[in-house]
Amino acid sequence: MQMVPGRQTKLGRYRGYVAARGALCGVLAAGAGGGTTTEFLPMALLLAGFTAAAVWMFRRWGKQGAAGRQGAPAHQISMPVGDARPANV
Amino acid sequence: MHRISAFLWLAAGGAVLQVVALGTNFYETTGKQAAVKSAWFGIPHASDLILAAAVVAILAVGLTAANRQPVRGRNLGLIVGVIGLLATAQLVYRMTTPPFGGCLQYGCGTNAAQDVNLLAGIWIALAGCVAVTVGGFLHAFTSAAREAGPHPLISAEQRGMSPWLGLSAVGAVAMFVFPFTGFTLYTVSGFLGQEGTAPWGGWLSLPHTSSFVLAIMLIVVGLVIAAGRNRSPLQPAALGATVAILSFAAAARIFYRIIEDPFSTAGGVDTAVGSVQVELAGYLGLAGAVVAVLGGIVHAVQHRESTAEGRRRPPVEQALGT
Repeated sequence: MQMVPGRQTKLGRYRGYVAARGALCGVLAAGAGGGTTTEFLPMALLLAGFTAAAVWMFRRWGKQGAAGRQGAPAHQISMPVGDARPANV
Repeated sequence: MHRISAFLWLAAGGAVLQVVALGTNFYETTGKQAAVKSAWFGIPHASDLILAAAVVAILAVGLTAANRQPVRGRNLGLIVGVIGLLATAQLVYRMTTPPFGGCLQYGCGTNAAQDVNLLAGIWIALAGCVAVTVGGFLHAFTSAAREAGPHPLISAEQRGMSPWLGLSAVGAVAMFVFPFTGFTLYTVSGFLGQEGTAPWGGWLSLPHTSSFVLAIMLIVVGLVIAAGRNRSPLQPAALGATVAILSFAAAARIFYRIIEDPFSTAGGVDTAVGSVQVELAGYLGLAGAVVAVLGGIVHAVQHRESTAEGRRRPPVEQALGT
């Protein structure tokens, strides 16, 4: 699949969806587990779901956070008054 | 104080009764193994639920008095009423079906109540639960509750979601899901003279620890969701530190129960037990708690400078005369 700059691929667009549904499937599978041996698969699925969710979070908010730390207050909806003045004041 | 109706005061009084009752004895078992059972060791999960109802009721009164209620007054009353109702239902179930005949879960019938006398403490707890339930629900439909709008505490500085906060939330969910849901936490042999081995989940074998970790999970996930919606009650660094401290408390508790199993002191008395093996779920829960701690620490460190800068700014403004 060829990447187009500035646009997400289908895989990228649905990554969060897949990660969330994967975690949900893990939880459901965990509920169906029995003894310790049969618990291994649901536990592994659940672990994979948590890992996928964590990876998705870093891809979703990682760059945004870096931009915020470099001075772009992307998420400051109620910033202190001092932040609103120009940098040279 | 006009925001607090008489019914909310009733709920607060019920909460006091609940807390008082938790320090008393609930049951007296008769027969061969006659003993007195306290609230805390007799019905631990029900006690935790009663305590949660009391805390919510007292918080509702305190926040309403300070005009800092996080939701509308009507919804606050409904929340108090629902949690009080859950506590009442669980307590009534445990009055009709005490857990001492081996009935740790539901659907055992009422035969277990034959050799058990209910003491005054459990009736005090029931009165408190009913008061919280009735007070909460009736408060929701008063004019005081209708006129009380939401005034949640929201920090002036918001930085939105960060991946480290998200990691903390995932870790917090993992620290509860792995050890305290359907997975086996302990494999036990020779417990109470039984032959063979038996798998034990964390929910039944560690009732107070599971409630404690569940509460911390809910608080951490709630804080992270609030931060993601730019409605965090704490500054970013303080938020990260709070998440880390709460998660550390959960991690410490899980670690303690990995090195010290509960079976030799089950129910608060010395109990015969063979070997106890901690299963993978326990270690994964501990790992989740450690991940939550690390996420909180990294988030706090990343935002420490911005918080410090925010604190330094007012004197500079004063010097500039602005």
